[in-house]
Amino acid sequence: MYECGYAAGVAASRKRTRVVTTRWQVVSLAASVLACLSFSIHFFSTEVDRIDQLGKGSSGNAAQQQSADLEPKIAANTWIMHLTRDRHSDQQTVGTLQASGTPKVTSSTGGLEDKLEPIPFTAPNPPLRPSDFPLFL
Amino acid sequence: MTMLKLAFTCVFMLGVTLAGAPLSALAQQPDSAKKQFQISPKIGNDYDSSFRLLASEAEQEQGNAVPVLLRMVYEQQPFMTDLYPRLHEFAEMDISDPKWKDFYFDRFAEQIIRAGSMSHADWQYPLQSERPSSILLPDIQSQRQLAGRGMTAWIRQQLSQGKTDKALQGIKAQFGCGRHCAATPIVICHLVGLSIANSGFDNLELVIQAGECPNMYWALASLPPTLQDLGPMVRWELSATPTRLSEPLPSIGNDQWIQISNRFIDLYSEAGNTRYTREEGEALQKKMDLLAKDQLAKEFCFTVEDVERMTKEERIMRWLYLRYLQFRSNVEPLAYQSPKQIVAAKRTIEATIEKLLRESGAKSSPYPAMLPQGILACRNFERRAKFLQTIEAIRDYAARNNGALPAKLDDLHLAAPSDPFTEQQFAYELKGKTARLSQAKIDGFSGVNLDYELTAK
Repeated sequence: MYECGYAAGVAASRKRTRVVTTRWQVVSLAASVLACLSFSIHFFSTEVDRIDQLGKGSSGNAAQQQSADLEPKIAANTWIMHLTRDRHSDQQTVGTLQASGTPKVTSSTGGLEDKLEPIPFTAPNPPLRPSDFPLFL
Repeated sequence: MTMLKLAFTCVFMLGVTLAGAPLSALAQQPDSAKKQFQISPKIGNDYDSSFRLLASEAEQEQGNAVPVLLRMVYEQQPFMTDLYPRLHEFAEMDISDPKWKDFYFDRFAEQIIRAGSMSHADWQYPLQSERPSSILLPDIQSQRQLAGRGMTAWIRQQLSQGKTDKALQGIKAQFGCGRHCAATPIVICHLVGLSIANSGFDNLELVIQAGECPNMYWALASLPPTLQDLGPMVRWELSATPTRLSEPLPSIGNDQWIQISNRFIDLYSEAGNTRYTREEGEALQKKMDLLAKDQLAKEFCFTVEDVERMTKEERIMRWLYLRYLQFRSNVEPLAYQSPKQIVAAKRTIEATIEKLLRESGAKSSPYPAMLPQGILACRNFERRAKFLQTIEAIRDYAARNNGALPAKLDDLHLAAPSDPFTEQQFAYELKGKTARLSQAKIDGFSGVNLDYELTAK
């Protein structure tokens, strides 16, 4: 940027035409924009690397402190991610008793047998899972 | 006119109230099952009691019953397409129904009878899975249909043809297959086994009322209190919960606590099948941390400095784990306690869990809070057996007294067994030629209580 500005100044001082001076000024402006762009790319990639390093705990005490600040934020997001996830769509892939069987009140069998309607076999087979056990109680 | 308006308003308001009430409030499960039971007098001699409802070791064929149960449906596409989905219709069909001629189940009954007489069952479930609540049990589900409903239909078919011996053979197979289904440490398998055994009890009642059945007093007296040992089941269910951590635990401040916490919340969300909003999730974590901070120092011997050195995730996980150990210590012994003791312990355990849910705002318990109820459900097998044994003692009395029913259970020739849930005899009352035998409602156990009206044939 400095070189371009200097060249523009020299051109102007040598009483070149206004067109030539303007051309140098445009080149100078473009060079400065490129320089800014290059600087920001370099700066941000270095910063990301540094944060990564902090996360891995390979730096000193200050780095560990920053790492500790970051981790709960990441962990909290994981908690929220799991707690807010729609597990119903997961179950659709394997099917559930609840999806296919309506609780039915019976009979003399301690409330267990026929608690659920037989599975309609036109639908995908919904297998039992250990976590379905409250449905039997 | 004013009265008419007032009455109309009341009726309208009642209608609006009912329409707005949750359906569950109207669809409460009845807590008793009433039934008319015909007593066919038959003496229960102790010297004539060779029939067993569960095959003895001497009767058993050595081998694994599972391949036999799973193999029988191979290459049976027409059966699986046409009959299998309708087995429940046949299972509820009257013995005199002419449609029995269209029911073909002999080949399957033969396999189920063989499986029921085999010495053991090895289901090979991936019990050490990282995600225990997602283990699939489709084979157990199919046994409810085949050994449960299918075999019930076959037994009724045999009765329609007057073949009492074959019907009893089928009932014995149902008890055997129920025992095999419960031969895993997964509680739901025990409950499926129990439901098949309950079908066996229902069918036995049917055969007894048909008149040609020998007295089953001694066969019922010899049944075990549960289909299988409940200890392995209780221990596996306790170890399969997301709050169980691997010992030794990481040190205070260790990075591993973050991974432990993330794994827990993933498994908890999956097993509990509950969904939180972002605000609820954040509030849950905050409340749990506050509880953890408070209780780790006050109840679990951590210094305040130690608690402050921990991350939020470590505090929550340590606290949940210590509470898990408390839960485990209280629940594990229930596998071998009497139903009466279990009911008392269940109240305390459930109150503790309710308090935890209330304080933390969690929508589902991180511990298997239903386990005491599951243990009691398994113990209901014994209750059902003792109830039917009492009926058989009454049948014996009727045979010895020209068809008369006893005035009280103490008059019986064969001793009336105690209800394991109350440790007293079942409630019995004679009015004229009809008697009422019933199971008492147990406060703290939500099961269906049997209430039979007995009349001598």
